[in-house]
Amino acid sequence: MAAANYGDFLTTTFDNVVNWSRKFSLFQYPFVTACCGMEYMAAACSHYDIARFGAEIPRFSPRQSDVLWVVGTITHKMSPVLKTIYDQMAEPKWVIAFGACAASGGFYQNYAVLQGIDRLIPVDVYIAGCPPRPEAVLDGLMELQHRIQNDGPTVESGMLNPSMARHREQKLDQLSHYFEIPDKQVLENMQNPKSNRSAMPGYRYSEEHVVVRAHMGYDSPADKRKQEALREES
Amino acid sequence: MTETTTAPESEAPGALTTLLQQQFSDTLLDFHNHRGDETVRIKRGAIVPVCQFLRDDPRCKFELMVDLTAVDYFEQGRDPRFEVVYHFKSLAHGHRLRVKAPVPEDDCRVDSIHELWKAVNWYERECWDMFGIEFTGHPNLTRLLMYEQFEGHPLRKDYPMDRQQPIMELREIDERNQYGRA
Repeated sequence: MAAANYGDFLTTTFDNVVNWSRKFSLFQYPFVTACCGMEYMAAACSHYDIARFGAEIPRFSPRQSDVLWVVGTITHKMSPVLKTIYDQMAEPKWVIAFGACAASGGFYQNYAVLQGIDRLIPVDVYIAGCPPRPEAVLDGLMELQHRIQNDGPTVESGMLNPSMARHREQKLDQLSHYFEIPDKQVLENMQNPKSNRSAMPGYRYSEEHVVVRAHMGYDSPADKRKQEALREES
Repeated sequence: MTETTTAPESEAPGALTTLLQQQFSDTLLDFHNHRGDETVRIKRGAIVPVCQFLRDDPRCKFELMVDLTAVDYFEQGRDPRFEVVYHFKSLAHGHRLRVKAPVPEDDCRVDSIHELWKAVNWYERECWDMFGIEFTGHPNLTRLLMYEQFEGHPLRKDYPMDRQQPIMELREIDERNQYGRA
């Protein structure tokens, strides 16, 4: 039986019982923004019935919920709101990215849409679909329940639930600095075939925008440091 | 320059177009009429008098300002670059009219018609937000769809479609960098 070692105490059945009770009494926060909300509602209503999994009541308050269902497109304008809601939730908490837009930006590869909420908050389960069928929603919920039950404390002593570890990192990150608007950064997806960048050969936005490697979209902090270094060299 | 249409009788100017030709003969640049849907192109300096006439004159009586938007002809290389398009509907007479006003890029402004129709307030804000066309006299010309920190006007054809300007600090995701995808 899976066991954990917290100092002098071995918790085995206790963890199993706690995880069992957690997974079958999930309080959800449906953060619904777009069309996926329809499928969420369909899954929650009587025909597909999310209530039989114990995840019945939507709590529209982050203080009262365990699972943050991010349902629908999240734009950059909405991203501070999502981050605030996520930060206000108490541990233990999980995040489900519902639908293509929440998982990866969906088919909105443009200036307004955040390309996947995992660029902002850690995600536990991604449910693919546009929108996902209610069966896929229930499958995602069952996957989350499996993770809650089995990603519990393992045989290695002192090891935390990986979901917990990720969420705890975010928490420490949040506590370590007050909310601030970062320095301006500009991202671009240069391999997108629909990008009109190819229609404008030779277009340059500014002398400072030095491209290190042609990858799609996101400039990670490491890439930004490399760009800085290049800029300083030249 | 009138558009050739399938039915030859639809090239003739409709009643509204003739009325405007009589009243504002020097500001009317162009018109076309397709099966009763009339469009006029006027000089942008005459927007407020023309729209006031359209709203108040008993033969026109356009109570409803249906839409205000703009078109960017950058890729076709047209000068003036933008064209602000107004759609009006009359509830009394039941007729509709489309009014276009070309706007050059270097002097990118038009008079606001929010005094005539209050509803045009947000339409003009959206037009400013997306195209950068300034509506002089507008009480609150700020961004509507995009956020305040956004720089640039995204629906212009020379704004790269997928140029993102996030306002939150984003996480680094190793899997995405490994697989080379966004």
